[in-house]
Amino acid sequence: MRTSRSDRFARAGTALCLVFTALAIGGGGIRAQGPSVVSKAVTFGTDEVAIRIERADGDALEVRFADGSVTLDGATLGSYMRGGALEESWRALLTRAVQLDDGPLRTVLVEWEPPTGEVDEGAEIGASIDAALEAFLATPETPLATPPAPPTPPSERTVTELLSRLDLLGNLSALLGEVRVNDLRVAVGEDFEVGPGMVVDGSVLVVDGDVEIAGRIDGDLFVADGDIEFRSGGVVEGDLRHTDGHLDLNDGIVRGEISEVDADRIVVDATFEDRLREEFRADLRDELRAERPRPRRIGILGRIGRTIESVFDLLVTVFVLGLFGVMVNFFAESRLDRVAEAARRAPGRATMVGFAAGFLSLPVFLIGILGLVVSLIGIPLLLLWLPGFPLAVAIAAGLGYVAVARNIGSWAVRQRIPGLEWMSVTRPNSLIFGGVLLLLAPHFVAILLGLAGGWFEGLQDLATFVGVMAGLGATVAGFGAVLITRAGDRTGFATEDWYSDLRDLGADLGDLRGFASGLGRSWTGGDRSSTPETPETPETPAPDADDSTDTPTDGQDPWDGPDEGPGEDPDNDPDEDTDEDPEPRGGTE
Amino acid sequence: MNARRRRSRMTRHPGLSIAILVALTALPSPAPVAAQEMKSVTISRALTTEKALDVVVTFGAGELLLRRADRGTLYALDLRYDERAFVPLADFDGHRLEVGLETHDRQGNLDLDDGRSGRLDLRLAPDVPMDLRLKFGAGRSTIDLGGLALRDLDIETGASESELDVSRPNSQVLRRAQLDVGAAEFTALRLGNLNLERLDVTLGVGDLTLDFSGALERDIEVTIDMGLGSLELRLPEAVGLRLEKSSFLTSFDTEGFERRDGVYYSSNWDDASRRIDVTIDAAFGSIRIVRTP
Repeated sequence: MRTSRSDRFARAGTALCLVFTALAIGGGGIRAQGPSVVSKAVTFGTDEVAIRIERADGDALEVRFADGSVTLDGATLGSYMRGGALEESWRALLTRAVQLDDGPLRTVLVEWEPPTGEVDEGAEIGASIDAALEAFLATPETPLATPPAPPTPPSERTVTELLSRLDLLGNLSALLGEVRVNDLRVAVGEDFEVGPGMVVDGSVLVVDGDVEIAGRIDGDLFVADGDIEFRSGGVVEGDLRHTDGHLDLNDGIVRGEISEVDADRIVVDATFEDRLREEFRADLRDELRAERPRPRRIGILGRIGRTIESVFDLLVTVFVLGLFGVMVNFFAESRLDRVAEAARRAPGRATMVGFAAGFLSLPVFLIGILGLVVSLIGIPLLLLWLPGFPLAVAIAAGLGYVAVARNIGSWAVRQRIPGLEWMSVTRPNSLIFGGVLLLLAPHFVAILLGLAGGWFEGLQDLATFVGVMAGLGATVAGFGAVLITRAGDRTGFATEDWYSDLRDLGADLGDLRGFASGLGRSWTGGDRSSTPETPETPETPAPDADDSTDTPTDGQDPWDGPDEGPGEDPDNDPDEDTDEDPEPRGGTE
Repeated sequence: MNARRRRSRMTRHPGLSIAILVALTALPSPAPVAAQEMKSVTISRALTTEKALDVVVTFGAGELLLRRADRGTLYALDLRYDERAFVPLADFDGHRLEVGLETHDRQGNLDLDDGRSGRLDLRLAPDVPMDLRLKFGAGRSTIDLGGLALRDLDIETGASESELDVSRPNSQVLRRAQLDVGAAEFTALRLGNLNLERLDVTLGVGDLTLDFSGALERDIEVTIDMGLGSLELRLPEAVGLRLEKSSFLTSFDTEGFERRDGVYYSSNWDDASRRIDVTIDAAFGSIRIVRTP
């Protein structure tokens, strides 16, 4: 890449300024004793205050006061008294440290002294931390076999020398690039040598001199008009840029890029070419990514499509639930009748039992596993229990949902709702499908509201909420009814006395035997007088809207009618229940 | 956007939602909100030999500040958070910096003024070529990209109030920037300083302001995909504008534009030295064009 004459003058001027600035800095880049701190992380918490510092060579030190213990690089030093002098001093130190970097940070940490008031363990911990900080920060990173090379002081000679070599300025500007001036050590017109074991902290610029490296330069090396020779053990941690000279790498190591720079030409080594290649690949990936087709916006047509899809999904849900209901009705009609009747006549009790059972199902499942495992003999039964229990709960919930759906279908028929004429009490399957549809109706509304985009978000959310609550209520109440009726094996809806319900529920939750007894009493106990043989019994209070809206058409419902009422149920044998629980109902009081 | 997807999923699968709710009722109720345990972390790293930086900021909720660092600093951050509610992220592997705050409980309510929310003040190296990806959940963010050398930019916000400014020109060419704005109020100022070639914006619900003032070095292609909200485009008078709009119920004042083949052109389009080509897909809302000096 060729540059214009004005650019070259500008770069030469910049380079000159850089060099003069570097020379103006005392000591030609002399730095404070000790390594650079390139990273710090300070944490303050109620029970924690910690610092992690990292040197340029990658070594790190972490001191942490946390939860009463002090750790140094993960190793516990001991415990400290919370709020004591040691912690306070440490907090004060880190409060200062958090605002500082590199040199000032190093100075503050090295100068820290543990509080003198500490005794015993506290004093030892403080001394250990102090020693660790000083060892980490105040001493060189690697032991020196010989003293480090003295920094080249600025002198009239170097400036004169530099000014006498203005022909190098173009190369210098290319050499220096973005280098930080205050990190630069400069040698002009003289050779520069880094002896074995020596460490030079920072970058080095050598103009018109040869360089010999057997130690380590912790920075970049810039050489203009000079030869470079590495000896065994010679390391440059940063980049090496040189111009107008010969490079003899030998066994030396350059961790950064090696580049030979010319004012008009840059020669790069293989490493740099690899990086360029990688950057080119990254650019190519970016290009390909940019050219990917954008995701399509969902417009009104998209929303209509999505609505149709959602409605279809919902209809599939209706179909699946309805089909399940039809199967239940076909294979276990009488059981479904009893569950539905229990849910209809005592919805409050069914809901409470459903909730209680929902909460208890997981503990019962776990206790069952534990019991089978502990008994050893029962371990084979685990193969049945593990899948069987969740499956039974799911079937019970499904059966309950279908029963409640059928009740709702029956209610809708009685209300003579327009559009639902296809439902008839003489066709239970139509009632099941109708009930499922009604339970899911709020979801249909929500989907249709979604057509309007965000305008009816609130109403859409409300409809969804109502739908979910309706489904949840039907499932819980139905599940409770299933349990009350022992999956429709017996009638258990006889009581409508809320006090009795609550009392029985308490007994039910108290122990499983009480649960069984309570159910027995519900059917055969002292509240029998309040137990209707038919829904129309005048003494029967009507606790729910369903009952209160009973009309003469009730008599048309096969599950409300006398032929399928509890009084006619062949399983409704008072003697049987009495045998189970001969105690009068008041026995639990 | 996510909320919308969740709602849609629940609406479309009521059976599933019923099952989930039944399962939830069987679970013990969550424990009450724990007391605060505020923690602050300050991290900084000096710029050494890094030639480029890949930055990923993931910020769940709270207040986010992002700007350029002092020269010589690769990155610096001050993080303050309630450790009972947030998990800090701070990882640097030499090339890639991942930093941020994630919430323990994404369904927890957020009140930016109750002191429980997190705060991240992040400074990034100026002039170091950088790919920046910012994922911001909920809260407030103030972002100044001025002085950063951005090669790639991807910003994703949730329910937030964000102001993005580019106070100084970007020294790198930014071939493409992506803004994915959920339910938010998002203002981007001096985008002309981004040295941008292409900008893709997705807006769910909210107000979006895009200001293209600044040192506009090249023509920009902009695509905006908007659900429901208002869009304000601020363009220097000297810049030519081509606007192609596909919308359902979106208001747009066509005064000052010529319409050719269904596309709107500003009167200076043919003569302008810098042009911005905008394509908008919008459902509901308003589009407003403001000319700035």
